Amino acid sequence: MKAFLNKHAKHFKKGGKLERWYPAFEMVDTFIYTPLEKTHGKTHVRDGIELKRIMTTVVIALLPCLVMALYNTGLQANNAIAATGANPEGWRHAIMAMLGVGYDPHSIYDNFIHGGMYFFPLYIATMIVGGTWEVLFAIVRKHEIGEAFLVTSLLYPLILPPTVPIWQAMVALSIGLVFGKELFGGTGRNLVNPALFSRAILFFSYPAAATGDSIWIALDGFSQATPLGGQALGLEMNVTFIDAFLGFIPGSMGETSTLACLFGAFVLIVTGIGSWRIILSSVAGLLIFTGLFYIAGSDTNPMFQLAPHWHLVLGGFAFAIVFMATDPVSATYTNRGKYYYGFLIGALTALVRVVNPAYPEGAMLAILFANIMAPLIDYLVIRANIKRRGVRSAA
Amino acid sequence: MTGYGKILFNPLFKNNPIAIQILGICSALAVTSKMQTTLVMCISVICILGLSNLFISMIRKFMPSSIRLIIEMTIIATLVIIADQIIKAYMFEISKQLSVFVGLIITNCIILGRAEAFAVNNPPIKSLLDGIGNAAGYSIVLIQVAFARELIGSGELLGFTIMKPVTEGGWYTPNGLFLLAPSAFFLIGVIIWAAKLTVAKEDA
Amino acid sequence: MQRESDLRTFIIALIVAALCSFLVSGAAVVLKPLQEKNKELERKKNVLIAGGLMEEGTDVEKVFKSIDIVFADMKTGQKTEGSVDRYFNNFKQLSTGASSIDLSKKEDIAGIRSIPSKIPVFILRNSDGSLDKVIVPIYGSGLWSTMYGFLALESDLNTVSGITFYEHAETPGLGGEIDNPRWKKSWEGKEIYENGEVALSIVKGGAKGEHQIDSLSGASLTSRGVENTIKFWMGDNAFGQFFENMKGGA
Repeated sequence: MKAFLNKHAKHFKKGGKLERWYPAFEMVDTFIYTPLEKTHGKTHVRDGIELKRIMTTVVIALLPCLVMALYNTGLQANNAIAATGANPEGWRHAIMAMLGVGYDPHSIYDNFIHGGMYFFPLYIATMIVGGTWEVLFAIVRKHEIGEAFLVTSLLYPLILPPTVPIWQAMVALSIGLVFGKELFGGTGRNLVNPALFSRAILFFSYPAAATGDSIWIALDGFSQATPLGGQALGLEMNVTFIDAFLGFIPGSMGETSTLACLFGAFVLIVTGIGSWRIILSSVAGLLIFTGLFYIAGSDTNPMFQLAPHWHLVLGGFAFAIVFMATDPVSATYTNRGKYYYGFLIGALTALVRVVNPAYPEGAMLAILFANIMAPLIDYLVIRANIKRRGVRSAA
Repeated sequence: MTGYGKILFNPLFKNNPIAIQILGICSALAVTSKMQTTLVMCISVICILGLSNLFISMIRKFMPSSIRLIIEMTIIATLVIIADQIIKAYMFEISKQLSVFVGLIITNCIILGRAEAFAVNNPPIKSLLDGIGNAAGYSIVLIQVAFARELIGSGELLGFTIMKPVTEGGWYTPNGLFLLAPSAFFLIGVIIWAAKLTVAKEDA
Repeated sequence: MQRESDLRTFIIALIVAALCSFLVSGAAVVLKPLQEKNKELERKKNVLIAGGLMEEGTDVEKVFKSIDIVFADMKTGQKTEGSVDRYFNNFKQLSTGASSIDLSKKEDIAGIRSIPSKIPVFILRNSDGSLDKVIVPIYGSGLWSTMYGFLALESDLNTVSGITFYEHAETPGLGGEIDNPRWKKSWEGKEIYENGEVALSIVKGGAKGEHQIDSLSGASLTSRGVENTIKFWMGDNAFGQFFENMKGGA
C-alpha cells in the first residue's frame, strides 16, 4: 500500500498529470500513514500537537455521546411503539425485519440497531456532503484537505433530531459549510462553528423538520415534546432528574445525555483541547441567569418556573458548550476573553430559553452569536491589557 | 459606444450600483421575498431616480451650494411620497406588502449618491439617462435575488405555482430561510462575487 | 458671488419648498378617496371570504349591500348603532381609548388587554329574511403578533361556517399557515359551544368530533393563540351574551 502510494505520488506533485487532485491524494496518504508535512509552528492551536491528533481526541471524547445517540434514539422509538402498538413501515424497518431485529425497548440490541437505522444514514449523508465540499474547495483553492470535516460530520448528525429528512439535512449542511466555513478559507479560518451553523440553517430553512414536537421520536405520527419544549408550553414535566441527566429523554440524537457530555468535557480538558474556562463560565452564566428568572417568577411564562439545575440537564446545552463552544477556532483566544465568552453563552442561552417562547432551546443561537462576538471580545481584552500595562509602566 | 449610450448602459453591469459599488443593499433585503413586490419596487426606483436626477440637473445652476443637500433631499422626498401615494391608490394589495419600504426609498443611498455624483454637474438629458441606468442596474440585481427567493422560498414565481409545495399536496418542501431577509445577504454576496470575478476578467 | 447671497438662498429654498409641498399635498388630496376605498374594499372582501361568499369575479360591493350590519354592545350584549368605517379607521383609539373596556388578567385569555365597547356584526339573511350567517371580527395574540380576522357562524350561532385572518406576522411556513386554505377549510362544520360553554379546541394530531381542530404542525404557540382568540370572542366577555340575546330575539 505504502509502495503503491509512493509510486503514484509523482503524478500528483507539481507538473504531474494529476496535479489538481493532489489534495485528494494527500488526504488518503496521510489518513493511512503519517502526514507528509507536520504542522509547523503556530497554527490555530499554539502547541506542538498536530491537527490530526486533536481531531482524533475529539472523536474519542464524542464516543459516549455517540453510544447514547444510538441507544437512546432506539429506546425512545421502541418505547413509543410499545406504548401505541404501532406497526412502523418504511425502508428502515424493512432492513430491520431482514436482520430479524425486534422492537423491544428492554433489549439493548434492539435499541442500538433501531437507533443506528436513524443515525447512520444521516452520518453517511453528512460525510458525503461534507467530504465533497471539502475536496472541491481544496482542489479549487489548492490547499490541503482539512480533517476537521471529519469532526464536523460527526457533530452535525448528533445535534439533529432523528426524524429529519436526510435530503434536508444535506441541503442545510451544504449551505452551512460553504457560507460558514469554506468561503472564509476553510479549516481554521471559520468565523462560526460549521456544524452548529448548518444546524441553524436547517432550523430556519425547514422549521417543520427542525422544531415542534413530532420530530423527536423516530416514529411516524407520534408526537411528544422534549421536556424543555414541553416546559415552554406549560406541560407537566414527565421525566425524572436522573433520567434527564443520564439522557433517557427525547431530544436531538446526541444531546440528551449530560453524563456522556461530562465524559467528553473531561477528555477535552485533560488533553487541553477544550477550555475549562469556557465551560465553567458558561455554566455559571446559565445558572446565574436562570436563577434570577426563577426568583423573579412569572404567572404567564412557565419557563420561569424551571429550576436552574434542570436547565443544565435538559436540551442541548451540555453538549453545545462542551463540543461547540470550546471549538478553538471560533472561540475567543485570550484567557480572560474565554471567561467573558463563556458567560455570554450561558447568559444568552438562559435569556432565549426563558424569555422567548418560540425557541425553547437557546444554546445554538447563543453560541453562534458568541462566535461572532469572539474577535471583538479578544480585541477588547487585549486593548484593556495594553492600557493596564501602560498605566503600570507610567507610574 | 456613444456618450449617451455609455451613461445608460454602463451601470447595468460594468459599474452596477449594488454589485460593484455596493450601494442600496438595505432595500434589496426587505422587498425581495416576492417577484411582484420587487418589480413594483424596481419600477418606482427607476421613475424616482430618473426624475430626481432630471429635476436636480435642471436647477443645478440656481442651487446655492449652502443648501444643496437639503434641496436635493426635498425633491427626492417629494417624488417618493407621490410614488407611495400612487401605489397605495392603484395597487393596494402590493402596497400592503411593501408597507413602509416605498417610503424608505428616500434613504436609498443610490439616489442621493447619483444626484451628488452626477446630476449636479451634468445636463438634464444625461442625468436622466444616468438615473434610469443606475436604477435599472439596481433592478437587475434585485430581480435576480427575488427570482431565487420566491422560487426556493415558496415554490412560486410572480404568484404562480412552479413547484407545488407539500402543504398544498405537492412534492416541494419550501425552504423557509429564503423567506427571511438574511438569505438576501447570501444571495447578494454571491452576485457581488460573480460580478467582481467577471469585471476583473474584463479588465485583465 | 450673486449665487451665494443670503436672500437668493432664501428665495430658492422658498420656491422649492412651496412647489414640493404643493405637489405632495396635491397627490394626497387627489388620491385619498381612492385609497380609502381600497381599504374599505379589502375589509369587505375579508368579511365575504370568512362567510364563504367570495368567488372568482364576485362583485364585492353588490354582495356586501345585502349584508345587515348591526353593532354589538360588549357590556350588555344588546344591539346598538355605530359606523363601520369609524370602527375600522379608528380601531386603535376605540380598542384602547377612553370608551374601551379593560379586561382583567383572568378575562384576557386572548392577550389583548382591552376591547372596543361596540363591535360591528355582519348579518347575512336568506331571501325570506331568515338568518343565514353571522360574521364577527376577532383578534388575539399569536406567537409574534396580533392576528386579525373574521369568523363566520351558521344560523344556529354555533356551527363554524368559515374563518380567515387578514393581518398577522406569524412565522412563515409554521404559524403563518393560519392562511393555509386547507387548514381554514378544516374549521367548516365544527361547533363552538357544548352545554353553553366554549368547547372548541385545537389539538395536536387526530382531531376528533365536532369540537376539535388539528393544530398547525410545528406551531403550538400560534395554534394556542388562535384557540384562545376563539375562546375569548365566543365567551361571555365578548360575543357570548350578544349571541344569546340574538337567539332569544330572532
